[in-house]
Amino acid sequence: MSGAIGAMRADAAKLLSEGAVKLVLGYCVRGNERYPCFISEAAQAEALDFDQSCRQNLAAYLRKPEVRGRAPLAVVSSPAVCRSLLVLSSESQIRENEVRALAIGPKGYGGILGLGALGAWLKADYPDLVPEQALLDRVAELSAKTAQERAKFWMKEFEKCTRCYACRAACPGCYCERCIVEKNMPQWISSAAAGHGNYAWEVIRAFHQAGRCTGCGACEAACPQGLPLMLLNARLSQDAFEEFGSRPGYELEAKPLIGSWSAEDDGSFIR
Amino acid sequence: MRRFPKYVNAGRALMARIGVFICHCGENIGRTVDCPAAAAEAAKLPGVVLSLDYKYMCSDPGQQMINKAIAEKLLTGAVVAACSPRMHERTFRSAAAQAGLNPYLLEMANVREHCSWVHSERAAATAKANDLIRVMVEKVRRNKALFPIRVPVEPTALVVGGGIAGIQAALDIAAGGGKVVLVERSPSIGGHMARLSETFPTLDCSQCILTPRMVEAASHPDIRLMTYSEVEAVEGFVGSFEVTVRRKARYVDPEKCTGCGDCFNKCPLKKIPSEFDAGLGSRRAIYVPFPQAVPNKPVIDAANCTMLTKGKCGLCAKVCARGAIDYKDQDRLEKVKAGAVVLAAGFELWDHSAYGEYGGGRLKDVIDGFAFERLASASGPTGGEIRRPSDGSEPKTVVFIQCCGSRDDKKGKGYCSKICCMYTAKHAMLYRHKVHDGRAVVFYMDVRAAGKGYEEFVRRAIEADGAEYVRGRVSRVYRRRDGKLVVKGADTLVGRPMTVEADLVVLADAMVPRRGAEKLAQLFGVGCDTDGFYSEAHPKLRPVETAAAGVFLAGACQAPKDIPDSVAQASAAAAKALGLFAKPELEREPVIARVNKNLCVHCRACINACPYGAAKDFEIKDRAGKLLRVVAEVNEGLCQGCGTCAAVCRSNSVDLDGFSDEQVCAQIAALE
Repeated sequence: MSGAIGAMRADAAKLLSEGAVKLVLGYCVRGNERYPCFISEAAQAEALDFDQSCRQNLAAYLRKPEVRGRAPLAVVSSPAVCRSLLVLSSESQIRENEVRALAIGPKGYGGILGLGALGAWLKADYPDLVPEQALLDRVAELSAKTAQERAKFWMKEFEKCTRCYACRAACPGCYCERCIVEKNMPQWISSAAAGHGNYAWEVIRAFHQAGRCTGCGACEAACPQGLPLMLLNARLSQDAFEEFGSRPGYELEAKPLIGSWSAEDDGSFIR
Repeated sequence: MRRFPKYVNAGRALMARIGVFICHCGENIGRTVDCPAAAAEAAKLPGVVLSLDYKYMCSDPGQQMINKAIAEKLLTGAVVAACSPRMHERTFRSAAAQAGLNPYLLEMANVREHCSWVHSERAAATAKANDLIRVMVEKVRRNKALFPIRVPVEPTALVVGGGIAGIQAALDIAAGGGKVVLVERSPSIGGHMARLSETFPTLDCSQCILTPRMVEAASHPDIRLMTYSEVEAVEGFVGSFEVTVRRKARYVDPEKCTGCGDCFNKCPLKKIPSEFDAGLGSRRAIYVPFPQAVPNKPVIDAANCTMLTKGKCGLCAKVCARGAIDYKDQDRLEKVKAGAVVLAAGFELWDHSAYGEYGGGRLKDVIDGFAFERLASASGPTGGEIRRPSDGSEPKTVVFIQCCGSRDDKKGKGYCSKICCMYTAKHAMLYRHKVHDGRAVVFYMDVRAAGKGYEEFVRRAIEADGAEYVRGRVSRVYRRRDGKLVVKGADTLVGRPMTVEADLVVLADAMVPRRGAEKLAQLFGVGCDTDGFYSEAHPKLRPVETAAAGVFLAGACQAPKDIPDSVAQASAAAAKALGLFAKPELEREPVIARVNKNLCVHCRACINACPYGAAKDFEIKDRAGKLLRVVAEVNEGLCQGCGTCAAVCRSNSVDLDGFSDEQVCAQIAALE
């Protein structure tokens, strides 16, 4: 792994010194803490680091106003971040010539990859990014319960939510400039941190991820209240894959699961 | 809807002044809903300044009440609690427009279909009617004045199907000054009618009356034939459809070909069953379906031609003096613009192999009606002589079995195929004219001969031509070792079983929609009934229109029809198309989606989701022309107001005029 990190630092320094990018988004590690860091000088590349605990999804920064104007840039990208980059690209949020990935994962460093090359790298080394078995077991356990039991479980969990929206800030898929939860004419989702407002927010957040979530876990990691958000996300991803064969973030120009259609779609259930 | 000159009130400039008009619909609503009580209740709602009930709100006095109220009470909106908007929304909105109220400030609360017709308990139904009215008042309080969208009309009709219905529609539209593109799937126009020998009830020769029409359609300067072509995709809407047509590879250049026939006379593949002759005759791999085909230019059947399948032969190209054969020909896609569409997809016969008791389709001498037509036709495989398909002998006893698959919802179709009684009588008559010593036995359930000259025709078959009509069903048909077909049935009028030894059995198979008809309907947004026939917009009052604006129906694709009915409906469809073309512009409902460009983040969900291609990228530029952002935009002309874009928009940046988030939320809130 240390060789991989060395190569990644060297590539970051090279890109910056050549002027190929203006900014590198990466991680630095201090003790037990992992911070996202933003590097604009080649000399700073030595600070870059990466390990399995780097759970912030750096792709989430690409649509923030502070970063948006600083293209071209490079992103230190774990496989999950790579998938998020491809989702953002298919939703026309980032352009191919503006973002490059310093692709790194458990199997080593993949080099400087353009968005067009990410799919091939992912398919070769990480073709089946599925959630950890422990999470899948918990999803199965919860799915086995009755609808009433599940509703009770989630009602209890959602009660903890303080509506800080850290999950939203951490998610690369949540790039709307005005989130639906902030709409107040009319107000569909109550903004009070309680009861049905919480329920509506959490469920709508999860549904907005259906067919788009890449399973990076940044939302759950960001939640100060410890809500098991990945339970919802993983279940939706399972459904999206099993029912529609959707695996977001493997193609540069994938059609979205929700909101794309073809005349050949199964319509037999409509009658 | 008529033009409305000026508006007394435009939306919410004034405080809401809403009128509620509750209709008894005779007894339809009044029987179950206490309308005066509902009116009293509605009068208490905030913003309601007037609440009335009346026996028939849609009648002239009822509409006058609304007009008067708008003028005197200066209404800013109106709710008519009556039937469904589908029934009378247009009526009431026109009335409102006449009185100077923007028609889109009037809404209907459906207290008939959604209330009185489905409930019986008066108090509960009245309470529900109150709810429905309250919800609509809340909506109308937030309605905005909308103005119709005007779109240009392309005065070209696309007619799909080149049978008699399609040909008639094309000729009538062209005669009325419209242009026509006639798309036909097979190599020639003419359809099933070209295969018939004679036609009831006059016994005139089918080809003699049809082929001049075919030629007329082909030579008309305003009709463009696209044979051997199929509709592939449809975009756009009434007034300006854009239809992609697949022009299948003919392998013969129709420009160079003179139709001399050298190619198909020389083609060595002689044993391909002819579809036109119902499999009784044969054709070559390069062929014209029948000698009077229009256009009279051959096509190569790619599935059978050895040059195309194995690369061996090439004889037709050698003998063609004009060099018209091109084995490398490929399907082409062509786009056609049309303002109106006439669907005349036609029918086919039900596959009687489901009837195991009639031989399950395995007995050679048990044939369907089309096969008999070809046997009786002078241009058919036997030159008009009635011959058994198995051994070519002349059948001395022919049994005709009616209602084969019709009026049988167990194995076949529940409906009556309508034409079989007549063509069976014709078949029996033709047979007796050709085989004087032959015996024609007709098994029937009922004889349905409703039509001009029809009953007389059947009587003539029985009385003058000696067809033996037996009322009863046939239970079994089997082949005896000597080749005779044994028909076991019952004569229910005398109440005894009956056995006939026949040489030939003709089954009057049910009429069913063409294979692929449902897919065609989907392309145009036309519904099908449970049997697959195309659904008309209203079974009585709009029998030619469909739920898709600008798409009309002609012929047996809508329901079983004979030639006169098909022709009449085709002319009706033509009149509808010409009615559209009579004005240079159409007015469309202004219920369309709008994108809030300040909020749109251009995730393109709506652009992917829009089934009409109305949502598109829109570049926001500054004055110097520098690109600032890209967002989504909805094209007013293409949008059909389905709301799919609004549903998929995560940031809620899309709203639907007339059904805005604000309105819908207020309606839901009113129910809490």
